Amino acid sequence: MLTVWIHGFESLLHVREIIFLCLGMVMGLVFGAVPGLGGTTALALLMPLTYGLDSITALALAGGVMGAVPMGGSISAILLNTPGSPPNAATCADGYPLAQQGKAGLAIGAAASANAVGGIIGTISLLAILPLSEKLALSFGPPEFFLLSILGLVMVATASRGKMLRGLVAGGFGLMIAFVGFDQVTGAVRYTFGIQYLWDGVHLVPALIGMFAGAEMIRLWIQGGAIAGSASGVKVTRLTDGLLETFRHWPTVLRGSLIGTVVGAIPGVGGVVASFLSYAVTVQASKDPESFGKGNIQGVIAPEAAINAKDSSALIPTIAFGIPGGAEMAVFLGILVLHGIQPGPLMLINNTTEIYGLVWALTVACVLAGGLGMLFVKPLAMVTLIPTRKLAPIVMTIAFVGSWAVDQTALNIVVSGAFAMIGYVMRRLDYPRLPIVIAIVLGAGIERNFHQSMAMSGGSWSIFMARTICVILVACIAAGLLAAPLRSLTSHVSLRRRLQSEVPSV
Amino acid sequence: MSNKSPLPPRSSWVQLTPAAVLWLLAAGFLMLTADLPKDAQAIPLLVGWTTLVLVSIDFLSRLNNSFGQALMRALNPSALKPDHEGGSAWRIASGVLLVVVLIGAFLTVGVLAAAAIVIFGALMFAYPRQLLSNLLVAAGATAGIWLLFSALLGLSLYRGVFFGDVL
Repeated sequence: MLTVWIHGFESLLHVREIIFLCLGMVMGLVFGAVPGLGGTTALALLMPLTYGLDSITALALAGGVMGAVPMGGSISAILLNTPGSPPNAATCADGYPLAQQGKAGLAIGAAASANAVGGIIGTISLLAILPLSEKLALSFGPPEFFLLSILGLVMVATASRGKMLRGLVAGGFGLMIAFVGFDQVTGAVRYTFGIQYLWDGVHLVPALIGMFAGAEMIRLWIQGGAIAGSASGVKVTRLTDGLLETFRHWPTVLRGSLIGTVVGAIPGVGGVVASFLSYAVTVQASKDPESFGKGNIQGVIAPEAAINAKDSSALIPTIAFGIPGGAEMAVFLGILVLHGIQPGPLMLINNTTEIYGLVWALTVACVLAGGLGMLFVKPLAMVTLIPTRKLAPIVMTIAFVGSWAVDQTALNIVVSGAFAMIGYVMRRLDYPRLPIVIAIVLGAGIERNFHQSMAMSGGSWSIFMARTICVILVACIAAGLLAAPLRSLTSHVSLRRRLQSEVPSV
Repeated sequence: MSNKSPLPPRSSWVQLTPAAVLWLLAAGFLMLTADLPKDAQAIPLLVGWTTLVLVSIDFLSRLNNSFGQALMRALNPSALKPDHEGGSAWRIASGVLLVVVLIGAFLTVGVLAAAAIVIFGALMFAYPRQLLSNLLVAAGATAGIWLLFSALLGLSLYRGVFFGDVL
């Protein structure tokens, strides 16, 4: 095992890999700092550019982006009260009050070191869990993979807070899109309307670019104005004090990192839950809970540690089972596919160098991005002042050229444009976008595993309940489907009771 | 005193249209699936019918009656909150137009000309008084695209159907 870790690390020790890792970090910091862009857009934009690179270099670039995005997001959260990405919203609660008190450097330093430590703890957890998940994944057969894919889809749909039904609807339409093209099982050509381009199905990379980068740029264009109000009061001092604060509050870092690790491994739950859960638990565990929200440094450390730890563990379902847990992981999975790497159990056997190279790239990026972020605090804060109506057409054009560049097919641009509009409409109509993307990614596997299961059982559905793992997975799917409506109804009933008790008796 | 929780006022057809459109799409998908060979339609049929049922529930949950509201509360409570997405109809149309023009320009006049025209056009639309600045930004962005995709990645950029390239 140690040999594989070392081999993975060695794969990064080349000038080319280091340059691309640094490039990824710079891009991650910039995209992380600008609300509305974030890691998913950065990866979607970079995806086609990695086409000419070898897989290790491409993964170093992706690892650099993913490791640096949280740091970029925390800078704008602390200085401008504008979270770069949604998980950084928890950092605003205490980071911005600290900045207002003239302690921005303290907060940014603490965020940087919490990010680094969180990333390292997340990596250690990942390295410990990956061999176990390899054994688990190899014990899975087609019925288990079929049910696991359904579970992933259900989890992603139900985790869209308060949008379970529409999440499931989006997942259903995503699967429909996934069925377009040549069916590898039966040899039939489906839903192509005679368009030869669609024989290979709806191309994943252009669809991802449209759904994330394109749709976000439409939103920014429509929103108008600058993303953040003003950076005129940015003063950054006491950065080193902030670095030390993290180590003074080591239980907070450890707790946050563990929360991030656990939450990250669950598909669909995501960084927002990890950061806010870590923040809430820290407030509850504190002897001085009233100080939170007014500039308590632990309110910065706890969410930041959780966010980076989550990034590492989110790789587990993506790599081991081919089930991306979130939007960023879905795009990352697209990068793997683009480089001929099929996520799933075989990847754990055939691509160990790539996996551990990526893990190391992510860890190095988590650690170094903090330092880089502290060096360029002010320019990063200024990036958020670019008017969105200047930014949107430029980023959208680059994204669409990138979509064309994937396989130099002009129709990719049409796919990206269509998905950009679908993505924007879905956002406006309150349909979550992630389930549709996850469904497109999982669709082919779901169908293949279903047919293989049916062939194994002679057409009997009982195969989906034949083994213990299957029964557990079916139970998890049922629980996932029932939990959200039950939670909503319970909270509604308790609200009604409270309202009734507040009505004065006549 | 009524125990009903306050709900935002909902005009029926605006509220029902998305679910109705999705219902038609799902039904259309099922109709297309019916023409496929038996093995090729197994999973699509399952997915199509499941989605149709889910969209029907979504449709019912949008009805402005107690049953619809109960469904909405149980399955989609976030829809009870007011819409936070701003933007006038004109701005939304301009956003959609930006994408359409970008696609059209790419396919007809190719990557570099499309980039220059669309970026400059979009900037002039948003900032009509900043001619020189818009020109410089558009030229810079186009040069950046050429540098990245053509010079660094070595790709032969698409020239568009007007200049002899095929789709």
